[in-house]
Amino acid sequence: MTLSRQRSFLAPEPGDDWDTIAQRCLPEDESGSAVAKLKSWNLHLFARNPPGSFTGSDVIFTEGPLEAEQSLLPLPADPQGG
Amino acid sequence: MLDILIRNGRIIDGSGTPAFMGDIGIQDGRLQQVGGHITAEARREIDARGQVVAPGFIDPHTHFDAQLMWDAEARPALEHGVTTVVHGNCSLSLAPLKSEHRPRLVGMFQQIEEMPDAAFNGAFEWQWESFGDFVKALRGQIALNVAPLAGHSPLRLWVMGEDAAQRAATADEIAQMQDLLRECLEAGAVGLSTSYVDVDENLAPVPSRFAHFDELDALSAVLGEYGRMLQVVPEFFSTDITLARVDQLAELSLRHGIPTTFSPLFDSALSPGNVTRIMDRVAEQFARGARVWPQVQTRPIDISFSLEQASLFFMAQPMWYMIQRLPRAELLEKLQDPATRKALIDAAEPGGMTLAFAHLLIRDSRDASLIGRTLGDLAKERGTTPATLLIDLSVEEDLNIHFLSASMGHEDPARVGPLLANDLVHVGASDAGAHIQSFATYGDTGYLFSTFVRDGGHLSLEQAVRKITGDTAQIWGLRDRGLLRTGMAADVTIFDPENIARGEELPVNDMPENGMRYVRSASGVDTVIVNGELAWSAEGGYTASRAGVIASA
Repeated sequence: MTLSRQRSFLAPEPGDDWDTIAQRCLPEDESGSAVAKLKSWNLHLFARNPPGSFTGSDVIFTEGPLEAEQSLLPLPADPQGG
Repeated sequence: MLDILIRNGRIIDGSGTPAFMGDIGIQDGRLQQVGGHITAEARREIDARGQVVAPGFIDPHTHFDAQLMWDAEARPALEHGVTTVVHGNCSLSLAPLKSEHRPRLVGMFQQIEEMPDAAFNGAFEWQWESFGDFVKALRGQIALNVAPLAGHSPLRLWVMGEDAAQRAATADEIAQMQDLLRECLEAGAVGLSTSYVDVDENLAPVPSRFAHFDELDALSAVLGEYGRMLQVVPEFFSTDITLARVDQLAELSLRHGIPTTFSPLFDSALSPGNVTRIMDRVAEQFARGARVWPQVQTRPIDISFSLEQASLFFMAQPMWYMIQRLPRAELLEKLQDPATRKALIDAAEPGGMTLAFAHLLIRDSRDASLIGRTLGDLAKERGTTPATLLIDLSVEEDLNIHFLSASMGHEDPARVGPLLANDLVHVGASDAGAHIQSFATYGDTGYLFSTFVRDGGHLSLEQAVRKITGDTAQIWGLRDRGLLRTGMAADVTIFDPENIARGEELPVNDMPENGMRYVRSASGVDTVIVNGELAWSAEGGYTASRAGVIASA
């Protein structure tokens, strides 16, 4: 059974930050630009406090959305602030 | 002699096969005969003419953990026909838990599930630390069956202490958590719950969110040793993240041979295609042999509140949310302080936009003429704004006025009905026993029959019964339950298919220390039998039966 293509993502490893993830998934890109791209694909992590923080269980997208999506509920992207 | 004989019922056995007429005999807690005309004598006879006789309903997503310590019947769930509840969802369980971590866990329950402190402190005596002792504390004390999950957050707290909410676990700590989870499963836990979205009372992520995938993988390996369930709360507000979680769960399911479930999944008119995308992915993963069950609730998302309690409704309005947490007197004072009022109103109505609260209905007020009116209409009449009026009325009525934000999603039966009927959808996600000051989480089963069987015809009676009995037991691997079959546990719900429904949502003050919660009474349920004992009837109400057991997987 072949799965249809979905937006690619990774789970952070212990010790990861934006730089290490950018190096791993966008090795061809210049560091600053890779981090900026990565952050732009993960805006859900910027609706929290502190903005851009992530924990070990978070999903980090490694590409932009394949389809436009709207929130399933009239709530902010991360309603509990996490 | 039989203990109970149910005569003349329309038997729907929970398998989805067509209903049939017949009798049911119960002896020693078991179904002694299902069908036929039983001639044996019985200590109690129930005439079920015109009624459906079904397996007791199973609610797979509840938070009755604390309530069952002071309310053996998990009222009013039992009177709605629910005979088995899964608790310990969303990474939170009352065990395993060291005594020094109790305040920490209570804080999480208060924040995430909107449960008052009084439900935990003073309402019961904590007599356990281990999962085994927790289960012992329940045995012989409960009127309905409990299938308990072990929560990932207390598991981490036990092994890592305060570091649980700070960092990744070491290999040694993960091994300790595996051992601890094994102990829980040996003691009767039906699985593990974890959460990707919840925060504690300081709005910091709960411990389970600090677990890297390798930790969850290691814990899932232990679940695989027993074939038990992994329950997760995904980022339900985002389709793309939920899709990623579906793939992660499928990977864990395939790797370890375990069932997994995520809750909730909502339909929303704001994003009509998104549930379809998620269900398409779920179907692809099932086709690979993975088990990733989306839990879908039956009821629309309605949120009721008064300003007296911090409400889910204000999650998107942090200033309002925080002020609601003040002590009553201080809150009333702040609501009358001009500077605070202005700040609140400006936050809710930036630039004079009044949309935020205009749709709110007044659901309970000492002024009957206000009930059912929207704040938007009333504000226009009075030449003010909805947010201002919300504050003014709350102050005028000493905070005893309740508002309703109706149909915030999942409200269109034409869309929700087919979703519930989907074979890959697990009907659940009631959240019963939680969010008690925001909405009544009881009666979802009655709503399933009234709205999606009787009114909408999206499911047959047999399908609807199967969805909340046989399917649930099968998905969770609950032995002995969910079907009316000779030899199985005698959990039985008798109801009138023409009248079963959820009752009106009402605020009541029946929590410890006279605390308020919203409830719904049952309508159309006649009799509820748990393990062969009468637990509730429309005629006699609750009995003294404590026949509930730990429902094993």
